[in-house]
Amino acid sequence: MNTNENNSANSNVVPALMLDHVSKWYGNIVGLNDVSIAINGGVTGLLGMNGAGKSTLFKLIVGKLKPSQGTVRLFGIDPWKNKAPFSRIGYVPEHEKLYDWMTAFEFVTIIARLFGHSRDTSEERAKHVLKFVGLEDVMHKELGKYSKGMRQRAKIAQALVNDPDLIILDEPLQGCDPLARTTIMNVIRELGSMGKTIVVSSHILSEIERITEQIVILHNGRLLALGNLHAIRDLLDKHPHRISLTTKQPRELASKFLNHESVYGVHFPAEDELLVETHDLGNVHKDMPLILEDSGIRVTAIENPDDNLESILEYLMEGR
Amino acid sequence: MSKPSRPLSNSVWSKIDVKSWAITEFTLRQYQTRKSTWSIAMIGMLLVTLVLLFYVKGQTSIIESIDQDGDSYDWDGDGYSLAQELQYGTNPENASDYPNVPALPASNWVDEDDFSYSFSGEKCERNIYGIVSEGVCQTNVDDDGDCERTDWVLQNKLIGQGGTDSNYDTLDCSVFISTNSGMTIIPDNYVDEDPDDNLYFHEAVHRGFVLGFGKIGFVFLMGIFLPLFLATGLIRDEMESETLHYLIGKPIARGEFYAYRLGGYLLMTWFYLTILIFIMSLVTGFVAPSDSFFRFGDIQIWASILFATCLMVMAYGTIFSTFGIFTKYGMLASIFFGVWEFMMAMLTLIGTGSFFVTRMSIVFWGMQIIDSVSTFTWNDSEYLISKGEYYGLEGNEALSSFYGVPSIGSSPMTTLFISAAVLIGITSLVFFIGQSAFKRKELK
Amino acid sequence: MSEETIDAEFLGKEGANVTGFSRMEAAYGSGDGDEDATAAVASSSNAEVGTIFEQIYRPWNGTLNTRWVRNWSILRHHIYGMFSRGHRPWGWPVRISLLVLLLGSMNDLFLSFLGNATGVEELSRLFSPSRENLYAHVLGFFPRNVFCFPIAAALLVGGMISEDRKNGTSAIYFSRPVNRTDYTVMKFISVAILLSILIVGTLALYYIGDLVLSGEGWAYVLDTFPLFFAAAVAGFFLVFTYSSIGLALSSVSRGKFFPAIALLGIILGTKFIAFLISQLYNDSIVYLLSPYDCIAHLGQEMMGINSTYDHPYTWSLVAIIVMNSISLYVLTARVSSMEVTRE
Repeated sequence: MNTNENNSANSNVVPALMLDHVSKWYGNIVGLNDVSIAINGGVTGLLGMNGAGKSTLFKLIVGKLKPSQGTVRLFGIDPWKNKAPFSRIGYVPEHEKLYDWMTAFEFVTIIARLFGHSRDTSEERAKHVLKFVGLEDVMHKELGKYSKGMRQRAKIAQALVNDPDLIILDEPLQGCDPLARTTIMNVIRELGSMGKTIVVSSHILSEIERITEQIVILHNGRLLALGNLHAIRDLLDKHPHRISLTTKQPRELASKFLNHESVYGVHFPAEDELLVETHDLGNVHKDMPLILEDSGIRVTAIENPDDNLESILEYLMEGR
Repeated sequence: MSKPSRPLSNSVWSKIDVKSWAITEFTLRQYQTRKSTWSIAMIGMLLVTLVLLFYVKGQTSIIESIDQDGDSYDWDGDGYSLAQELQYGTNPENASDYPNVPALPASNWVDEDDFSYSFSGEKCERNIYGIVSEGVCQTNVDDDGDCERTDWVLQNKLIGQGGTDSNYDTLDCSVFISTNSGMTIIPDNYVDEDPDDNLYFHEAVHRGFVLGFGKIGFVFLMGIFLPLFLATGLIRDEMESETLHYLIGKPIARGEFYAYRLGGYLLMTWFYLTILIFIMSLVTGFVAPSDSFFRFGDIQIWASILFATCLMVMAYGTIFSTFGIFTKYGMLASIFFGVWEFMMAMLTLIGTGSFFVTRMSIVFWGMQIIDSVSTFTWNDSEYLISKGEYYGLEGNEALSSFYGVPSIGSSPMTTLFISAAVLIGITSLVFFIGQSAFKRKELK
Repeated sequence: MSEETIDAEFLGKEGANVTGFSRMEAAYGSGDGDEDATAAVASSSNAEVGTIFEQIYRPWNGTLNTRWVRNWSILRHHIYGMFSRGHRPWGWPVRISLLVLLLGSMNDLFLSFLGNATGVEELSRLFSPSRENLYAHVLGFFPRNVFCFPIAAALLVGGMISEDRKNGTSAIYFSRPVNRTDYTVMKFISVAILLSILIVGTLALYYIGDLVLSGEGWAYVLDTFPLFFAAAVAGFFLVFTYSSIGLALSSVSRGKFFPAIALLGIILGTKFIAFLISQLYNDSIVYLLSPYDCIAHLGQEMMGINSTYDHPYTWSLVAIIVMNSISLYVLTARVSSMEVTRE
């Protein structure tokens, strides 16, 4: 990933996707505020809360919306005016609705034919991509009879049918059970390893974490952070952090933790809960198994209440 | 060595073709899976069946013949009808004066001079008080020969009706067909004066039926309700259900997409209308009065009804789907547009062309197409109406309420072309507006 | 609101303010849980795999409001929505159209007023509430029953049940102590009331307004009142029939506009086909298929106007009853088999 400025340095490469000072507002509501970003290659996670502007960003990219300001370029072409770059992208929309009366095979075939492939080629491609997403056995069943995870996979299949260079997935994991999540994540990772440019959006950090390390964080229509997840995490690790441990002997355990160099405070919010406060989360996590083993106290659960998108956003907002 | 031919699937045309056909086929399948499509089709079929039942009932019923000229009546009660007494020169008002031959049944002089439907004749002129009009004259059409009967003619001369040449075309007992403006048919007195009531009824009602159902049933009701049901949601439904995202983000222009979607709609409605009109023409063709076993002469008029209705569903379909692109209240706009069309349809039926405002509607032009072809195919309809009115023949009202003379253009052909051009023009204009609105539409 | 009040309300404790808040919370308060996703760990110290936790149900011991109060709230929801926000949302184009139709259906009152105001006796006499004028106000085909009443009925009926099916909002009703009959009847009455305002309400306005304007005496009122009454009854027939057919169509379809178009198609389509047949074959029997004509026939009979139909009026009566029965059957069958999900 490059920021726009970086990209202009090696201008001989046309990025798959480029936004230059793009804003989009709906009446008085600002959907996207002065976003500049260029993405080329690899899997990128787009993180943001509901209403952060993820879908707006995607719709601008795929030419459903016209930017109020700034320019959007898809392989160097304006997607609002010219439909040519669409032959190189695949788009998985956010919403649920599908043509319930079609089978997945028919659906993907029709989509393939919209790219100008003949019927035979389209059917071949449809079979191929449905196999790729693991719907081979059920592809002749109507979409209306699919479970949520299967529907998501069918949506991904239709986005892959033209063998795109850029794939945009809007909340592909939403509403899926853990098994479906894993399957879809594997599919996305595999696509990434095939050298495609992929942008995935989500509002759940841990999901994105399992897919990619490159992330873009949007908040209230603004670009908040952009870069490697580890870098952001490292920043976070320096930030006051809490670890929650559930145990029958919180006080005994607390004394063990207080000896650690990075821990600066403990709390007992409940009778069987210990809250450890630290500046260096990584360090504490590294030493935690040792501490626990030394103490010989049974711990039934360990949680990082701050390790979610809200706290990251909170932190990043403070940093500004 | 033969040059290896380029595979069809690689040519530019077939690439466009593949996309267009994919969307068209998709649209058709979508219609196919909706229950509403089938219910509408079924209701249309039921309607046609119901109307055909009435048609067959009407055509098979027998109208009692009436002696329009009164020559079958025995005035003096001597057992001889007026015509037979006049033929033999006896006094019809004296019971003791009768011909010396066996009396013929009165039915011999009922329906003995039917309207002449054939229009081959010589060119001639009509000169009435110095005003000359050109036309075609037909002689030898007085089937019973009572026009040339001197004693009757004498009476006519006395009351000043012009004798055996009451239409002033210099030919005795002839029919003058003016071709100056429209079609006017003027027979001499006692020519075509006692038509076959039954034949007239069946002919007039047949024409009235074809015109009436063509104009009201097909051009108007089907023309407006099929698009209301089927075309309004062509783009709007996809927008609302957000499935449009799958179809739009493809290397295909939105205008093209809209066109192919309309194409799918048209393919289906045109096919459906063809079937319905084929059924109607088949049934009426066998049942209608005709010289041969099938009435081939009406194929033109059924074709014109099909043509007009197809243009109507195209024009309305484009208008309604464009309303749907503009706003989610497109259907409301369509309903109010339909109200306007309703009013204009009524005005057009009441007085073709006499209300200029009707030209501001779609339905007027559709009806013009049928009218133009009907005046061309059935060029004696006006004659039938005026004669039927004169003699008070049954079935006259059926024909006169649905017969209309086209008010645009000087000949039926120009009317046909102008009307079709107007409808196609409106469709293209609206399509152009619709597709450019669709192009600019942001899909949220 | 304190925890205690909420509980008190939910448990139906005496003295608690019934605000409906906690019930609203129960219905709407649950998102899909992604907003604040934190893992909850069993807090019980002896929780082992396979433990079944004790489920505690809190019975609700309060008394419900009476049935009519609940039904009134459904009715109110639909009717108030026409005039103010916070109730059933009727789109502004629909409301404007209905307003135009309402004003349009009062044109005879306006013209009568104009006649009385300007003193043009021909005009005021032409639009006085005579037998024909009262009939025409309710059942005149052109323009009222072509452009006005069917369209109003179509607009009102449009999304009534079909939108509930489409959006799954029927769950809001059926998860409450409201049974399906009440739901259907209240929807029906809502449509009927709004339509009555348009048809019978304007008739009454016209009649009373004209009496006031012309200043006729009691004798005149006594003479004309039975006619007005008959016209009003015919108007209610019209309202009932259009509502039942419309709601039946609304219950078999999804979306807002299919039922509207279908209602217009039925009313005007049958009318035109019947007109065609009667013109061609002098046979008025097909008018029995047209809801409007059947009621018009009854109306003519009730008001003593020369019938324009050849068949006896009892046939029209039977046809009307059959139409309404079929519609109501379809309506109840569809509503009772309606799934409380988003379709």
